[in-house]
Amino acid sequence: MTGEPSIILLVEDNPDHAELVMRNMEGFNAAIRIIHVENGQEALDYLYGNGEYADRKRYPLPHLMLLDLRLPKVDGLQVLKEVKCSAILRAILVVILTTSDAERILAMACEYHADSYLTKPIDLNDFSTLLVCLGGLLTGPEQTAPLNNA
Amino acid sequence: MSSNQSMDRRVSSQFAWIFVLLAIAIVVTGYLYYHNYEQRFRREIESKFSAIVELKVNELERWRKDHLEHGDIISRIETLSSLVRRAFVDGADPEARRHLQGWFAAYSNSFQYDQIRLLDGNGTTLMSLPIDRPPVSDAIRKHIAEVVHSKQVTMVDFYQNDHDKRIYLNMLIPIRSDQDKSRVIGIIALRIDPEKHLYPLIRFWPIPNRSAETLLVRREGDEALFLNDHKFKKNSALKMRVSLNDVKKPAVQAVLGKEGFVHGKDYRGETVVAYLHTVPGTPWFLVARMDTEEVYAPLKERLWWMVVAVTLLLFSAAAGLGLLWRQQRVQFYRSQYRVERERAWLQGVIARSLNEIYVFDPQSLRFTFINNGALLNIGYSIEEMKNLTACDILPEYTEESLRTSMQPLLDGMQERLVYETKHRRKNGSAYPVEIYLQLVDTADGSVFLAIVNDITVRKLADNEIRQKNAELERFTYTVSHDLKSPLITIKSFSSSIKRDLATGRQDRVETDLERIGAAADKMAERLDDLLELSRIGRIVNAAEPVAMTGLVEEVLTQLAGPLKASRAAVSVQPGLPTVMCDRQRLAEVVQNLLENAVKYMGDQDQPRILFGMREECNSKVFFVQDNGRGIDEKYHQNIFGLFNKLDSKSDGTGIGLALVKRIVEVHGGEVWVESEGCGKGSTFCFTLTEGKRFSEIIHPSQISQR
Repeated sequence: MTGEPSIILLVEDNPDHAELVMRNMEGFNAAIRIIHVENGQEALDYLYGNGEYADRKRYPLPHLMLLDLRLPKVDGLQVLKEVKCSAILRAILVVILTTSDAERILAMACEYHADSYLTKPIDLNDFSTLLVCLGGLLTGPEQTAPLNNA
Repeated sequence: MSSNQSMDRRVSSQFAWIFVLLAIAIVVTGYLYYHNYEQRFRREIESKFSAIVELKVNELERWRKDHLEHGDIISRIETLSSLVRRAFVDGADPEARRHLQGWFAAYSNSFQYDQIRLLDGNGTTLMSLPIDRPPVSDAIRKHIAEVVHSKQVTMVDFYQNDHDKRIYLNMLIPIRSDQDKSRVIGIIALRIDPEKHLYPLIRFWPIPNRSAETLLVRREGDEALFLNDHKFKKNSALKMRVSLNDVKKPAVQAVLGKEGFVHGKDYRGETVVAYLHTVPGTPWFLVARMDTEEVYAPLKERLWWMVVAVTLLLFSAAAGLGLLWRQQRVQFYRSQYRVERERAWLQGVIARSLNEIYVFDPQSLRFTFINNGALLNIGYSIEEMKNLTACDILPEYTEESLRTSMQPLLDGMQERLVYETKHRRKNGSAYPVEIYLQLVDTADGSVFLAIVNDITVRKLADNEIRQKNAELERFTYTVSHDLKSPLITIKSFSSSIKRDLATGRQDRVETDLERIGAAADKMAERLDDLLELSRIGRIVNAAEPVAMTGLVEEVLTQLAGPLKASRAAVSVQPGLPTVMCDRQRLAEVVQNLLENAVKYMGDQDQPRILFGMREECNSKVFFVQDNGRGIDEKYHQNIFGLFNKLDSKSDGTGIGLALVKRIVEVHGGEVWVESEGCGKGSTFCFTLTEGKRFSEIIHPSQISQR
């Protein structure tokens, strides 16, 4: 880890659930910065740097994306698919947030190469374990830097 | 077919043979019977002839014998010789002459001699009765010397009298002297007229007849002389002669010593049957004869009757057999007709079956039979099909894989195979089929019988079910997620509060409690919505004619408040039709769409909403058009999903369009949205199927009431 905070993009339409995630993060690590978007379309806009998210300094590419599957406008799976099909965005770790570990949904998520999943309500311990596991995978923003310039 | 014809021919020839055998039997029986009858008849004729002839011969013999004996007695009467001596030898005693005359008279009266003469040794008549006395005939004179010499009574056979030219017999009786027995002193000649007794005796025939006659013949040199008149030739006695060379004549044969039954030709040239017999002690031969024609007339008649009878029998046998044959043929054709009809019936049934039926050869896999149902679907003609093999219409099989798959049938390991595969039509298109394949043993060997169902419809239904299932799965997932979501909120925040209270941090407890309350409300709302959604299609109101204009007006009245608040100008297209539908539900549809239009009007300065209808592809498309925010095309599908909202901050649970969709679908219609994008307004369209599907789903009894 560098001194830079790890960027986490939280895609969650339910403000209560978003709040819960935020609270979970609070006492966790200062080096984590959470950016919250409310729907799939917004998430894609952010990732592609469309419109108000064009400024990569303010809105850098995340290292990790916490993705709710059930989203208004563009569905979570759709977002996952786009991310993992994009050469630029593929490196972003995607953790699916789901209300149930129904096999079919998880199978679909795996098919689209989600990196992991968390079942709501998110347990703090689970979350930290996951972050530790993924820690090695979390890369510094230097990898994405050339892409920023492109 | 051909075997039936040959059987028919065989039966016909059997009948012909039976007839031939029967005919032979009839003819042979007839012949034997006739032959037997003929034999008996001939024997009968023979015995009849012989009886008659023998009777006559006996009579003739006796007649002659009687006469001769009588003559002998006369020759021995002493008185007579004494009278003759006294009257003509020793002088002329008148007394003796008178006595003699008296004796003559008495004798001729009592015996049947027509003339009595007393002759001397030279043949001169000494005395006679009747009295006129022409000289004796030469025939008699010839015998006088002989009689004088032999002193024996002699019968002069039939001769012709020189004087009256008539035929007589004469018995010459020598009268010896009573004094000197060795001396003949006179001869008494007793003339016999054969007409009186002999001829009638000969002529007599005991049975009435036409041609029968009896002839008396004697031999004279090389000739046979007839002694009595012929039946068919008068005055032939002693005149008619036949040369002995003419051996065909019965008379000649008789004279030559033949006796018994003979055939020959008579003096008239007629064929005759004759019975010959010598009359013992006489020079005579008796010939009894009759025309063959007459003798055998009964035989001929019998023959004629036999021919008639045999012919009749033959005819009736032919008729009987013909009748039987005809009956047999009728039966044969009837049964054949029945078989043929059954065959045609069965073939018709099979041909008309809409199941596709294929029969093909196990070796070549070539088709040998294809029914109409198959031809209709596969598109080939029957001639084309007969040049194809099963592989040609099964695109999913190669010849090898097909043969391998059918092997269990050939090995007898399985009785039937079921395939689910595809058939390729002549035009190249394919259709899904289910094939039931059997190996069927027939008289001409084994064949594969494939009964094929076109399962296109089933496949479509299967797909629909699969789609429905997927939809249901999605729905379940959505529902579970959306119900779980508030629960998570409640659970998480309550633990958060617990933690905060433990750490003494109270600043956010209140907001957290509000969050919990809101989540509980949301949960309740969603459950209500779900109940409402499930009620559609489960609880139905009767379909009724609904005037669309009235319905829209009614809904607008209910929405007066929100409409006024939004300042939207609402217009309704005039002349909307009346449709058959569940009025209450349709009102919900209209209400939801209008509410939606108001809700997502955005920051439009002059909001306008139009309810209208347009005709499209023969169906009525109702629409709610607004000039509000509009919807990006990529969201056109998921806005109808349950609890889907494009804007999570907007009011409502996201049930509205899901409800609309459900109601419209229950009515057999479709719902969709048209919008060119953000800020361009949107048009929500829906159709209703007023006909069958709605009635079936909503209220079947409505059909009969309409």
